[in-house]
Amino acid sequence: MLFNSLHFLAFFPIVIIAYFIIPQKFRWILLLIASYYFYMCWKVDYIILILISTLIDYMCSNKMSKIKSKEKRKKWLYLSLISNLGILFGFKYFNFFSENIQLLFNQYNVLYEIPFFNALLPVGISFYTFQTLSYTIDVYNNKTQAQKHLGVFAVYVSFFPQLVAGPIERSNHLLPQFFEKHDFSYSRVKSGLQKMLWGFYKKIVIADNLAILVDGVFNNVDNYSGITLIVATIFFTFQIYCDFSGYSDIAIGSARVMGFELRENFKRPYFSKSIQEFWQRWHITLSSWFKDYLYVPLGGNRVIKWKWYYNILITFLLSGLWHGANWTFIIWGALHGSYLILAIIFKIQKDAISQKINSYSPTLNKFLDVSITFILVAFTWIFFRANNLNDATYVINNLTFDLSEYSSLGMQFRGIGLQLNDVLKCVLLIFLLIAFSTYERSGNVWMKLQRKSKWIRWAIYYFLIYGLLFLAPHSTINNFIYFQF
Amino acid sequence: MILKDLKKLIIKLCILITPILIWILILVQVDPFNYFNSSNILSQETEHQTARKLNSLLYNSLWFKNNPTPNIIIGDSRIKRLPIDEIKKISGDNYFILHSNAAKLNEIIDLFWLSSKYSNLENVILGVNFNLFNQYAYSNRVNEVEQMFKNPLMYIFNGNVLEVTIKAIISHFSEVNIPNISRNIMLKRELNGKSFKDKEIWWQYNLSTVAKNQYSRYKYPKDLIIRLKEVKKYCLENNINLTLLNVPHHKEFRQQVIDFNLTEEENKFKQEIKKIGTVIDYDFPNTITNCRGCFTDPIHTNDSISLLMVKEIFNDSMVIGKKL
Repeated sequence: MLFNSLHFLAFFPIVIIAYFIIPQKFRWILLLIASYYFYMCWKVDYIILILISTLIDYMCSNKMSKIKSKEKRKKWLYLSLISNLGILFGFKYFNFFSENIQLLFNQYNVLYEIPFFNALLPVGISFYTFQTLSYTIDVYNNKTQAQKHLGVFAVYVSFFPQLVAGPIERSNHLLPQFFEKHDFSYSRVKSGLQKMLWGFYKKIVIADNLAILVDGVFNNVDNYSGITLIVATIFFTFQIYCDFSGYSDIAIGSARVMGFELRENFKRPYFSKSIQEFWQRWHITLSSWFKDYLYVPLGGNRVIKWKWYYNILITFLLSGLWHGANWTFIIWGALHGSYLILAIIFKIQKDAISQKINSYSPTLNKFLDVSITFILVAFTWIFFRANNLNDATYVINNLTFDLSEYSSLGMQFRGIGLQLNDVLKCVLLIFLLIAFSTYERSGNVWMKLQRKSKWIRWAIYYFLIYGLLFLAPHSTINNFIYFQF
Repeated sequence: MILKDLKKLIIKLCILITPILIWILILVQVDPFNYFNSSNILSQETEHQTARKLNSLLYNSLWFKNNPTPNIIIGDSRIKRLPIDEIKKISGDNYFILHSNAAKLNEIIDLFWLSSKYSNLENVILGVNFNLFNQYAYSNRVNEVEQMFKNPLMYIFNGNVLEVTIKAIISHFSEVNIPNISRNIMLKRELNGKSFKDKEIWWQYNLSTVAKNQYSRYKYPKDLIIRLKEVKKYCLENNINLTLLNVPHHKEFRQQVIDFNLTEEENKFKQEIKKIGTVIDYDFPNTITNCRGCFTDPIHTNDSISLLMVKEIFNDSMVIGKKL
């Protein structure tokens, strides 16, 4: 089920009403049924994968909790890791690896046929797999208690607001909340609905409008050149942010309506002054997962320099691969890893330049840092969005332009079926997003608005709701980009 | 406490929803595009001045859905002027002109499939010119119309419908026609501040800007040929007479095809459409294309030439035009 569908518009109020009507001790049953239904609306059969994952992790964690010796607990940890990662590998990576092995064999004229696994990629598999993995690893490390209540544990694995695209929750944060009694509270419900409203606006109005141009260009890159490719890349930079942070806001908001607090996933990432800071603000729950369960166990930065670089690179390569079984994602991850390594190598020089500019104008220094980080990140999105490596290479090779191309811009947009007015609408929406994010810098926007007159607040509500109704591109209902991961 | 909170929330949600409900009520009453086909508040003249002018595709598609005919002419603004009454007088058949301003060939094909859903077609004329036969000439508006047919909410909450409804209400009560401001501003900018109502300026704009838009980037449209072949197959299977009409352009516009080195491509285009159905061609050097007075601008013929074409086509007595 998509958040941006009429189906969800009916589903959500029914669940909320039922949730507050039934007694606390039975609420987990409602949440479990609702979550499984939510997932089965996409494909009924694949609920079995969630069930397998739930049962194995429940069993392994409970077995581990009964064994004191860490060495003896290992076999249960391995069982959980192998089964979860095995399912993930089978559905997501098997074809990618077999294709590449086959290509390699073909290079050496070795004829070797590897069977093709013809199955749909289960939505959100990477998200719930990582969530359950963190749980079993935490139980193994005695950082969390094994959950005895199978039903509640099943809700933790499949909790519908964050099931298919996160935020990836940690057991010690989310699990205890299922045992808390959540009464109906006006202020909390309002806060949740406000968060959802802005999330829907970001997804349906901003991201989906930007997607028309982005998809038109990136699905036929060789029809376009120079400035159009630059515009499409910048638009995608904002599209993916609005799409994914929009989803996170809807997830956090809908959970909040019921009384659950999920972790924030985005903190104005495009205002980051460095790539390192960007990763503390972008998809926070995934980057902290990789940090805690891969980077730190590998040794983190408490090792010799070369090993440190290796740890960074391997973390980001795997982060790229997590996003999708395609070389474009791997290069995207490699680029981010390389940026971070280069930032460490040239830290002294960079600091010296920054200091000089800072003494002249701190604002200029900050502006330059933010702009450079934005450009570096936008560049990596080319790989993320391109359908294959050839397309990405074509885009990069054709990014240069001269000003005379400006006159053909309208013509190239018409080729996608867009008028210049449509593009201007997108630019205005981007400015609106930047204005919102700037306002957000000094604290929660909705809390600040609470102190304004009710006329302003209601004007904003109407602006967002009517924007949702009248500015959404109706010809298609777009999936969330991160569903594919 | 909980009940008080709940009451507060319900009241506020009602306040939020009320304007939406009022809007739905107004739209169902005014219904400028006749989506619900139950309102008679607006005169046809007002509908033409507002809805059809601003979104001819939606207006005409809905009109056809509500009043389907077995005979149809599909195309862009160039076929809009074909006199429908004269066609009926000559052929004895009711035709409907399903036109959309600035329609692309892929949309004309989409409109064919859309119309085939609502009518058992017998005679179909597609307005197909070379300047539409280009991979880069693409738009996807028919899809939105089809979605709207399926889902009334998409009609109710459409920006275009909102704009037209407001204009129609103002027009209805005050007899003031609100111009399409955004289009006018855009045209004014493209015409360097000059008025597009000046025929000479508009003529030159078509030759310089419109022709450049259409011809400076060209790619042979493989997909369109495949789709036209599907139309041909469907017509053969269902005994539908399919005609492709190539309307004339003034010679100065035709010169642009030569200037952009597309003469060979144009010949190829005519060869290709010959394989699809009967082609009636007016777009070659002839007495119409040589006559400036026959056009309102380089690509739109005036009413008398449109009438002349209709007489030739429907009396099956080609004098200026030729069958390919």
